Amino acid sequence: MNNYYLNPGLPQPVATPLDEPYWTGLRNNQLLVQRCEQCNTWQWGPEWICHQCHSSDLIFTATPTQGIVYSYERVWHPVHPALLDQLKNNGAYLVVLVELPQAGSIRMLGNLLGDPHQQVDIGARVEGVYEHHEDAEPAYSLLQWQLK
Amino acid sequence: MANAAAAIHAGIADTVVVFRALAQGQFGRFGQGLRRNTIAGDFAHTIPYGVMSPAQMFAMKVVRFMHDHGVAQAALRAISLASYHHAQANPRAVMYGRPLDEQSYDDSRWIVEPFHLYDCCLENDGAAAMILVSAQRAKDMPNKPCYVLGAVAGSQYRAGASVHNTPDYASSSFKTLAPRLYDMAHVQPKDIDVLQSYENFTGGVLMSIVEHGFCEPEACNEFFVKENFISPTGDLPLNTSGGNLAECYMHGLGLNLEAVRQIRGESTSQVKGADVSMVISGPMVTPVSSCIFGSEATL
Repeated sequence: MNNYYLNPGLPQPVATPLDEPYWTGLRNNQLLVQRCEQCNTWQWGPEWICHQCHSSDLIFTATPTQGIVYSYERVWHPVHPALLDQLKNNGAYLVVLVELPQAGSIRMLGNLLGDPHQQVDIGARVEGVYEHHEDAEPAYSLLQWQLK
Repeated sequence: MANAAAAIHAGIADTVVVFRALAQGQFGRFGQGLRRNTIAGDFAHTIPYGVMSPAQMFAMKVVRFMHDHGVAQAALRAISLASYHHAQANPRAVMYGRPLDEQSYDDSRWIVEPFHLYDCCLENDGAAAMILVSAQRAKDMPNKPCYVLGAVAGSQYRAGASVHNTPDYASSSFKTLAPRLYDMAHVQPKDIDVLQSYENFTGGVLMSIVEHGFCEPEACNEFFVKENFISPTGDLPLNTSGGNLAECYMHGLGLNLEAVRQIRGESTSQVKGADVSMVISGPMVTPVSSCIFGSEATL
């Protein structure tokens, strides 16, 4: 058994030169997202240039994992064999889109930990939880969310 | 459609065939998740969290829109019921002979909230094609001509921003396009006799209809009722062939064919004297497109 929110077997993330600092940060319990050194715009997902001022001077910057639920979805129908048993047993899983007010209100996507049938309120405060997949090859980490 | 019409207008082409053919049985289902061991790039930030099918990619836009404007589930249901209603008159429809009522919709399983099974397009094989020529040449052809009054394609600011970071998130992506379409076609929403609106999911239709100016966002619960969408009596007959939900999912090209049938008077759910016929394509993705067809009387 493991403590992962979703059962193993989905495609596992692999870093690219563009987002490598982000994935390395998660391994170290740190959330690093892009911020423009020129105009201070926060940016997510990762891009090669700043969408605001087009500078390439983007720095992966640490930010607290304090967020607000911007939207969510409760998924019932399995579209991948890895989730067949989980959905058969639990019925559903929850995905949240979380705004980070301390990072320019960029949005991060993850799962909402806890009962998959819990009520989810847009605007609810959540905090990040690092989910380390040590047994994966190579090991990687995800960022999940739980209600505050 | 816009590209085809522009190519003919510019003299680059005499005839353009627009087609779509699907053989998902042999070549893979769109609604299935990626089967591989690793994922890199934008999808690495969504797929490991179980967001990998189109329904899962779009549901959160619709949840946010319904939250912002107080839209009830019954609004989505009305869209589905209209499509299934019209399919019962259309012998070509996959769901011909398989009607849907409110109870069956409510009792159907969730795919991903807020989409029930009947909020999602079909998965089927098939093919559809349209032939576009100049208005002059069309006069020599055996069928009644149907004219492209306006056709647009595009999107809004940073609509393609990755990992669900598009600034205007709860949108079908038509806000900047719809005014250009009406300007080009020289018509207003009130002039539209019949509408085909692409249902990848009913929530896309909800936002498309709002963003094309048929209904204020705060009035959705009153506007999105089945009776309003039924041909020929509704104020806005919608998806009159059964559409992507109940006729055939041909990535929207079937909706364009139906829009032309309405102008020609050949629909199985014909709107009497339809002169202005509109198609909205591919909501919530980017870029999107929409088109207005007219009869000769509209020229």
